[in-house]
Formats: sequence, C-alpha cells, structure tokens
Amino acid sequence: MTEHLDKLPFEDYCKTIFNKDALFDKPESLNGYRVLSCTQYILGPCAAAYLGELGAEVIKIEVPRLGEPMRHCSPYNETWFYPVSRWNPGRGTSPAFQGANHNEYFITMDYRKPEAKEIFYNLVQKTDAMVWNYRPGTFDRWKIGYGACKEVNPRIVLAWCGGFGGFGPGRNWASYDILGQAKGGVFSFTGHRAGRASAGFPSKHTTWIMDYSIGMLVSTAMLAGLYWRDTVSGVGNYFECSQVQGSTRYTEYALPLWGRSGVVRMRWGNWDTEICVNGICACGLTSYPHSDHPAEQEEGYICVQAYTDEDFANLMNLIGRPDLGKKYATHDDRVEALAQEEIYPAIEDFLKDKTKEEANRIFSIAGIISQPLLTIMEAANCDHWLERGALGWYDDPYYGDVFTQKVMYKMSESPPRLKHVHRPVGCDNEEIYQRVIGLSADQIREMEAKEII
Amino acid sequence: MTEFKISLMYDCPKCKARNFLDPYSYWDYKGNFKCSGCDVLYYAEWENGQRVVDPEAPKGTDFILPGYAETEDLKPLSGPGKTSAPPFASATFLGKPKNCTVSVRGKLVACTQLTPEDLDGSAWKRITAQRTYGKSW
Repeated sequence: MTEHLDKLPFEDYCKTIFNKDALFDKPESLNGYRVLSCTQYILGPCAAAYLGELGAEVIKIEVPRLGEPMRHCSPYNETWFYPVSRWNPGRGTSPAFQGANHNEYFITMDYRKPEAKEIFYNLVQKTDAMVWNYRPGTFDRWKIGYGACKEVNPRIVLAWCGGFGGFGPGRNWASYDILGQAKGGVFSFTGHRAGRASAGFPSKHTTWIMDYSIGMLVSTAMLAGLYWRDTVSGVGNYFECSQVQGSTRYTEYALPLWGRSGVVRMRWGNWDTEICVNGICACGLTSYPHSDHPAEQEEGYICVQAYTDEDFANLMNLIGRPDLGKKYATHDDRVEALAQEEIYPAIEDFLKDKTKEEANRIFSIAGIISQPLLTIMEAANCDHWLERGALGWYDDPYYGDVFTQKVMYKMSESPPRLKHVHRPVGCDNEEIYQRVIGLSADQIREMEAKEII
Repeated sequence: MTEFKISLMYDCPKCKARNFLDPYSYWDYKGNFKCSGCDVLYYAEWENGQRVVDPEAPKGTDFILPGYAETEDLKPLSGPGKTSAPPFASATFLGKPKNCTVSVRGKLVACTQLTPEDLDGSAWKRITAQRTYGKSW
C-alpha cells in the first residue's frame, strides 16, 4: 500500500491519505480522554471543542433549562436552531454558538446547589481534563476550585482561561474579545491608515478572533499537560491562560520594534508598512449589478501583491503606468509612505471600470499574485473549500440541514472530524449521568425537576 | 505631543448638548448638521473620520442629524427630528422576522419555533420521523 502511495503524484497522494470521505473509518487521536467543559461564550468552549474534534469525549456543563448565554446571543433573527432545550422548545440556539461547541455532549448542572457538588466531584474523578472560563475565583467561591478538584482527582489537568488572569492589578476585570484586542495593543495598528495630520482610526476585527485563537492556545496547553501527566510525572496540572495576555502574542513585531527603537507601530489600513505592493484595492464595479442586497451592491475588492522589482515593474506596465515602475524601481523607494500614496491610487484607477473577477483574471494572466475578497456566500460555494472538506453541508440529527466549518487541518492516520455542531441544552443528561456516574433514570428525572441538573 | 481631537463628537456651545456624529454618516462628510439640543445648524467637514473644518456658521439650509445626542446632564435627546434613524433601519434589515423552514439549498431544517408536542426527546419529531423511515432529504 505504502509503495503504491509513494508512486502517486503529490496531489493524488494528499487526496488519498487525507480522504475526507474516509474520516470515520480511521481512529481518533484523543479517543479515551474525557474533558469537562465548564465554559460559556467562545474562548473556553472552543478550547474544549478543539479537543472534541480530535476525539476526546467533551462534556459541556450548562445552566439547567436555558443553557449558557452564548446560545441566546446574536444574530438576532429567526435563523436559530430550535429547540434550545426540551423545557423550552419555543426558543432556539443562536448560530453563533455552534462554531465553538463541536462534537460535545451537553449536560446541565447548577454548581451552586449543595446536591450538585457530589455529582460534580463524581464527574471530576472520572475526567482527564477540564476547562473553565468564569471570572477569577468563581469556582473557588462555589467550593469546586482546583484545590477541591485536585483532592478528588490528582491527575486532573485543569485549564482556566480567564479574562485578565488570576493575579495582577487587572485581575477582577471581565474580558471579552474586543477588550482583549484593545488591551493587548492590537488596535494600535488595525484600522484606517493615518492621514498627514492624524493617527488614523482604529477598527476591530468583527469576528471573535481573539477568542477562537486564544482558545487554540488553551487546547495546546491542555495537550501539553496531558502529555506531561501520561509520560513524565503522573500528576495533573493547573493552567491559567489570560485572554488579554494571549492577545499580545498577535502583535508580532510591534513589541520588539518598540523595545529596540522606541518606534510605535501605527495603522496603515489596507496597505502594508513592510512591503509594497501588498494591499487591498477597490474595484470600481460590483460583481452583482442586479442584486438588491447591500452587501452585493458594493464594489468589489481585490488583494494584490507585487513587491519584487520585477513583479512591480510588470504591474505598473500592466496598469499603464510604466513611469511609476521607473520612479519607484527599488523596494526601498516604493515602501515609503508617499510612494504608496501614489502607487495604490494608480492601481485603483486602473480597476475603476472592472469587477474583482475581471481584475483577478487580468492579474493572473500577467503573473501578478491576486485574490478577490470573497463574500461569505462566495466562500461557502468555493470549490477549493468544498473539495477539501473544510466547509460543507451535513445532515444534523437535531437541526436538519446545516452548513458549517468542518475541520481546519488534516491528519493521515487519526484525523479530526465533525460529528455534530451542537445539541439542545441537557439533551445528554440521561446518557452521561447514567453511563459515567451511574445515576438511575428516576434519580435523573428527580434532579431535573428540582433544577439541580 | 500630538493634540488629541475628538472628531466625531460636538458639544454645542449654545445649549451644551453633546452631539455624537456617527461614523457611518460623518466619516467623509462636508455640510451642515443640526444640534439636537437647540436645533442650530453648523457647517463642518470630515475626511477619513477626522474633522478637518471645525463647526462654523451654516452654509445653506440642508443638514443631517447626529446619530445620538444627550444633554449636559446626560439625558438622551432622541426621536424624530432630533437624531437620525440607525443607518440600516430599512425593511431589509429590520423587517418582520421570518421563520426559516428550509436551508438556503432548500432542505428541511429545525428552525421554527416549536411546542413541547413537536418534540421527540430533545429533537424535532418531524426530523426524527423522517430518520426512522429513512427518507432522503
């Protein structure tokens, strides 16, 4: 088999070993690990869900009946996933919930009730790892903090991803994605480029990018904790991952730049301070002239990159401005702010009577690297994503036809996979409480009635 | 030290009302705006979100309204004639909610408000029934 694979061209080789239709025929990397997710919103949930995609049995604990707040967040319209729970079928779960809760089991528990504590400790005893993202000290106040968990299970790997961390002057502040971007310094260079007399205007990344990316750091830390426990020490670990601290990791060279020279990195909008040409240019025509949707009526945009001397000269000849090609023949010349203020408008002038698709075709033929900015509808129908299985339709047992992100990376032997986006609140109470801690069906019903679970 | 100027906010010197000039309308705007507190018109200019001409005597009679305003003692000044409607306040964005019953490619979804009778356990009866009988959809 291996011999046969080695003779394949690389594309066919990748297609074969990463076959998206054979994911469920292969074993899972984290099969046998159990993770408790005591989380809400995005940061904590996605950290656990990343492990769930790799095969860990992730059990998410939510507030009885209504579930965690993210189920009831934006977007506010009738696109919700009904029902939110069997107690409340008239409400739905927001689509914003699904990206951070793949492959999990959903149970309910009111940690604050004395009767719930024993059940919680029972679960902790049979768990390998746990994630929290409540405010600092909340679980200790409820007597279910790391100290208590460690006592019942010294092998527990516990990750707490709080906003500002457990110590430091800001420890009591809550955090959320945009605050993480602000506190980490990311806004100092995202946004509109500076004018001659101003410092520009900041712009947030609209999606919860800090939550999703720092959740990945948390799941990496948990894997490290599990590795250390299982191969080195035999004991658990307690992690603290502060969201705002994580966001400083995404400021790349701005910090060493300041430390070395005192230069404070500034905003430069859709252009680039390091290389030119490398930016987003506006095309003059919309790709959907007959659409009545505002997102489609707007003119298209395209990324263009031509920073080597040869590519730049080629681009300037293409747009009919060889004079600029000669004027800014070296990269040092054209990366200057004043040069960029001349070069990008010249490119946009060339694009003013073109759609982004036409522009892309022209650039491709000329050998210039370019990529039109896709709307989410275009990304959803992009054959590259669909063929690779990155995005796609799947038939959800609870919610019907769902289009969603699947898995973002491939593994040949034990690949990650999407089993389900999420489920209603408490819909796995029977299975988990019976299978994991041995409660009877009557006990479960009684505790549900008392809203302990 | 660079002077820090708040470009998209204006405290009316006459009535002390604080006018919030929303970026959607004022980002690149040249013209009059009306103070929500005393209805006085001012002329100003913005470029790329920065105010390049400070409020001065109006030019002409056309104007636009602030996005939001409040009095000196922080009471909101809102409503027709005082502040502008939200930028996306059109039927497209704020129309009557429409329950989805099928996905964008026309297949069935559990995406409409349900009653306890609609459920089979936690899942929608209609979907579980279809699964039981093996319908392909």
